[in-house]
Amino acid sequence: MVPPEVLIDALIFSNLLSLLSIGLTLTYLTLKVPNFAHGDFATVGIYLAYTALRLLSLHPLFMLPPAFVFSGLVALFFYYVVFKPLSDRGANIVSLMVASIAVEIIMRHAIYAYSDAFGLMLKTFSRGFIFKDVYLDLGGLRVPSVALVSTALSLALVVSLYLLLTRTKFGVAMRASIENPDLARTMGIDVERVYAVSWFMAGGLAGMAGVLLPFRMPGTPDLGWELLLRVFAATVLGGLENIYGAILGSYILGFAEVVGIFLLSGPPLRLSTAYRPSIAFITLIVVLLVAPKGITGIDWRQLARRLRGEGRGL
Amino acid sequence: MPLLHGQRINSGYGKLHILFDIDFSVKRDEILVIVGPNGSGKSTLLKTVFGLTTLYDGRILFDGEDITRLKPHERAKRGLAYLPQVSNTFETLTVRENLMMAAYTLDEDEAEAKVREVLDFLPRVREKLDQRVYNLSGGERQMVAMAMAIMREPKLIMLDEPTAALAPKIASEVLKKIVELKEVLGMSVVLVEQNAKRALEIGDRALLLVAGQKVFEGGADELLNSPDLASMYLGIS
Repeated sequence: MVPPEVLIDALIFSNLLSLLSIGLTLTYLTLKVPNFAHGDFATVGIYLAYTALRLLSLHPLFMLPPAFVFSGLVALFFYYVVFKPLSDRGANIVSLMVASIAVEIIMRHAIYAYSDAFGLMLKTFSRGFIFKDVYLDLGGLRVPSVALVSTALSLALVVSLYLLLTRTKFGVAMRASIENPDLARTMGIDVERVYAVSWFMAGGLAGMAGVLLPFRMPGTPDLGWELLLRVFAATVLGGLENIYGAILGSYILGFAEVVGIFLLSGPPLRLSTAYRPSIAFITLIVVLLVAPKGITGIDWRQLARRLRGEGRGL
Repeated sequence: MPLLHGQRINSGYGKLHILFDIDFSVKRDEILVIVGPNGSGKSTLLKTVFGLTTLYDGRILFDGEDITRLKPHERAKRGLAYLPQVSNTFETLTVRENLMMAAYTLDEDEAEAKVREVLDFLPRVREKLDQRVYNLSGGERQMVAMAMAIMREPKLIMLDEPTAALAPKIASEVLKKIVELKEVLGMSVVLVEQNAKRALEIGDRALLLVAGQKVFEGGADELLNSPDLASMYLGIS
């Protein structure tokens, strides 16, 4: 039996993964770049919240909107300075990916430098900090506020993304520009503006995830980088080219990892919790062996036909 | 004065020179059919007029204005529409969303009125409004693409093999609609077709390209009835 606390922990982790993976999918859909610097947009949010906490005694949750804007602007800066010029010059996916690794290294070391300078100036520790959470009593169950905030944020995000992409002219233009940018241009759509907004949103969502991360894990300059591979895994698991797939992948992976390690660390296996990240990747490989294009790439009708024994080879 | 006038067009893709010194024109309210063997540069000529190739030399005048240096979306705003052979619709969007995108530069009321007008012209599209394009047949997709192209009331519409891979009955239906573009909506049409005979039958004038060079420009009937040219280059006997 899995205790409710573990399920709450899994829910929080999945919520944070989904905030990160939606952004990663958005940037992949625009320029087809697997952006290795995406985790660092979250780290920017972590240090923005920590700075506000130390300097202004502001509770980190108040920093969610500023982190959205600030990390969004950082993402926009790198889009205009690095990724768009490279894409305009015809850089292929490998060049763009290597450029994103370079941006990641630059950002991570800039954050290291900032965190050290900040720590020295305020004579405080600037790595490995945890934000103190408030616990609410819900019917005898102690629920951390970050669980409620991250769930509300994820739900609001899913609903607003759906409304944006299906009910607004700009959202439909986003989908059109992503699918066929040349055709979109001939319709008079400003594809470059659509891409810029996507990068801003991607950075912004990662920044908000960053604000919430130190409630559950120690804040360090490389926390975003450490989480990145799991964000990639969630995105690929859901189906690399589908935003809703990224959300689905995040919840499957988040729950598999947290609940999985809880079960495996108990009797009879008593595995070390250090194996926790490997559960995510084992889940990824198993799903990809069954569905190479991720969960949203499964042709459910064909699968149903096969299960009924109507398909070829059965 | 012709609506479209291409002067000494030399164009291609990067360093690959495809078209050599092409002069041609399209008058108002006419269908110009561009025919020629595979690889003769028919599609490249349409792309060049729309600004999608490298132009080495020459000028393009549209409605009295030199559009040679304009970007594709600026040419579209001046009343030029181009319907590519493939990828001419947004497949993952519904038909309604595709039409919405075609009317992107119009305000909401204008766009809605335009959609109604286009649906009256292409009633088959109305039945499919809420379906995603990837669920439609080839003929239905062509109709949607045509609907998108005429949403912005272009003065001239360029169609690149709109009947390719369509069943003969559907192809005839598409060609009938192309004639109506001219006769009902008053648009000029440039049509590139593999099936030369079928296209020349509906065209007013024709342009025959061979290996990137102009071999003939004149009446469509004239080309159709020219035993030398028609049998040598178009397989019409």
